Amino acid sequence: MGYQWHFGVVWDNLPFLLAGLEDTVALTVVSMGFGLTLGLAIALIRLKFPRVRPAIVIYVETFRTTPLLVQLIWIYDVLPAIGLRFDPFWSAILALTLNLGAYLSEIFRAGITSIPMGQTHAGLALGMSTAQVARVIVLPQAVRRIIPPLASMWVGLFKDTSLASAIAVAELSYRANVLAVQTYRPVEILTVVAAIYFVLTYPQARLTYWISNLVRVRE
Amino acid sequence: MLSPLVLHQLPFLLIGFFTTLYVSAVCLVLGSIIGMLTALALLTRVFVVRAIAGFYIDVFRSTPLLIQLVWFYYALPLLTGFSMTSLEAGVLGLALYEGAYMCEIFRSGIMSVSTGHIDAGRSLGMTPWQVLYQVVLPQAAVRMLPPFTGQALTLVKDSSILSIIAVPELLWKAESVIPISLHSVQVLTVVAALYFLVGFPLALLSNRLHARWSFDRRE
Amino acid sequence: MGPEILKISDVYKQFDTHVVLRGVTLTVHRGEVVAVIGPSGSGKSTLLRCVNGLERIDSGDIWVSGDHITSAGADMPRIRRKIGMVFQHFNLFPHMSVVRNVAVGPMTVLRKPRAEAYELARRLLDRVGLAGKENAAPYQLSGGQQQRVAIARALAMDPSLILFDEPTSALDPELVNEVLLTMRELARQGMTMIVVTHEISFAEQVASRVVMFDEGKIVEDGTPREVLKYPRQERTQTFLKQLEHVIEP
Repeated sequence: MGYQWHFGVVWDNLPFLLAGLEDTVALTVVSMGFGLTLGLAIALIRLKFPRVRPAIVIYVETFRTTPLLVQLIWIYDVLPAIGLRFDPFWSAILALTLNLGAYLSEIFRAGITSIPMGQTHAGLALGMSTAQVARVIVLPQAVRRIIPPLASMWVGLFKDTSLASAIAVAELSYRANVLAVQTYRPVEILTVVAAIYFVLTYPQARLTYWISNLVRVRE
Repeated sequence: MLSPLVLHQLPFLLIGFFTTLYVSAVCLVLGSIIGMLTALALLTRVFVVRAIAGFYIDVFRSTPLLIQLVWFYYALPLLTGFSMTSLEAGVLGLALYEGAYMCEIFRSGIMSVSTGHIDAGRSLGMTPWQVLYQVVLPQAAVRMLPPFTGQALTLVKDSSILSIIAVPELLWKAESVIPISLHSVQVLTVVAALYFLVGFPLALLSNRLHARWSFDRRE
Repeated sequence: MGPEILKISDVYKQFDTHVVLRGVTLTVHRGEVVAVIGPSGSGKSTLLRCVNGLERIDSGDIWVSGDHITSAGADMPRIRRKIGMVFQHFNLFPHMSVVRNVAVGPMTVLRKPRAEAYELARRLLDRVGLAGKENAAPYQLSGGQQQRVAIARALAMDPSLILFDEPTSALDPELVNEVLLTMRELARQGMTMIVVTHEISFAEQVASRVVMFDEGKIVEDGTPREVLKYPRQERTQTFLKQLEHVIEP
């Protein structure tokens, strides 16, 4: 028994679907931008001010052990309750940023602390100031260790934007579901949308793999 | 602290919580089996088998879980003519998704066993299967534990996405309860706390295991 | 005897409850090559790291060429320019080429122009016998070669004193000699050196002075002949005897 594929619906609605990519990409880029800033700030604050460590740990563990979908909905629902009226898009950005910030702060922290203390001592012994040691010795090496997990987070984020559809952000997945219901042809719509995600994500994933091999530290 | 309307719904939520745990456990087992088989498939010399395994992994890792679940629930029945409950579709989709990630964990674990040990086994006259079973897997198993626990945590969080196709797990129950209890933020906070209850011990376990056995660099 | 380069006076230091340095007093003059020997855990390395401020002392005073270390505070980087350090595990910067490892000190700290710093680095690499290895990465060199690069890196700052913290302990036996030879050359050229070491032959043949450390104090201080051949303290005698057994096959 065969299924009759009719891709006509897909071609007719392709512009509508592809318009969703605007939000998908926007969500990814903007959240990553904010997330990187937040993550870096938290990592540095944690290293410099040990007394805030408990608060930071609570934040990080909360966002790393609860599902992103729950975080998205929670933030979307909590904002009106505290008197803020956000667009679903910006609510999603806030949730994604907070989520990313937690993961990224751990990645940054691991990268920085993975540089052996002997390196720092050698730099100090040469008469470098702590700022110089950070800039010339620690940071260049830390960056190389941070890039692979960072690239992998980027790819994960790109896929996770699909969850924003749950709070009615009109990105690709949202439009896919809407169309699947409206046109009664879920097979074609969903398969094509899956293919679109694949075509966009797979190269990024391969790139991540290639970058990871490139910056691999040899000691 | 919690509104009585919300407290009234707690038993209902807890049923959802147990469904979450149940689904996670089932998918963990299924996903591990699928992952192990795929990892072995990737290591064979038969090109076709490797290609199919590779294709499976690429597709399931380069598309969002949300789209996969929706596809399994709405599109697959139309294609095959078999109907599926949301739970069946959800478990199938989640197991296949996790399997693709488990595969990478198993593969890295297997490949991290040094060839010296494999040579030793072979020179004793062991068949390839014996080498695998007696020499490789015991060592690989230990090294796989840290990322495996991490993946288990991810699995529990990912199970929340099953709510999108109306599987009656925790998040779905929460969403159906919100209109009745009128306190969406409280309900969602309880939900987050329940996920945290499961997730935090898993995260701690994963961290502790990672600290003891890290197989990528050092020594 | 040359002018005083280093003066350590009644220095105490403890880590938590463990007292590591108990009233150490030592004066080193320019041109002296001081070998510091003693059992593991006796505080030798810690003392070295207190001299260039990598560790802080709890009481006592340290002066380097007239600069008071303990009260230096934020000025430590300036003082450290004059004190070189060679580490047991080399601590070369893995993300830099060999020549850049040697040049980075002059460039970043002394603000020399890049061309000048690199020129200096090449000369120093030649001096330690590694001309031609400039563009290699540290991991491509043997342990002995890496340590010689580390020595060149310390020399690049034109220090008045170099501290050696067990420079050959992490090396395979056949690579130890090349490093000791380099250090002997330095000594001959008049460098003031303090060397924490297990290599008694170095203490015998190169050092102008030997100091025996035990349980956080200096128990013996004299010429190599005095300390190694005719030690006064029983502890020294026992320690040296143990080392003899280590050397014999």
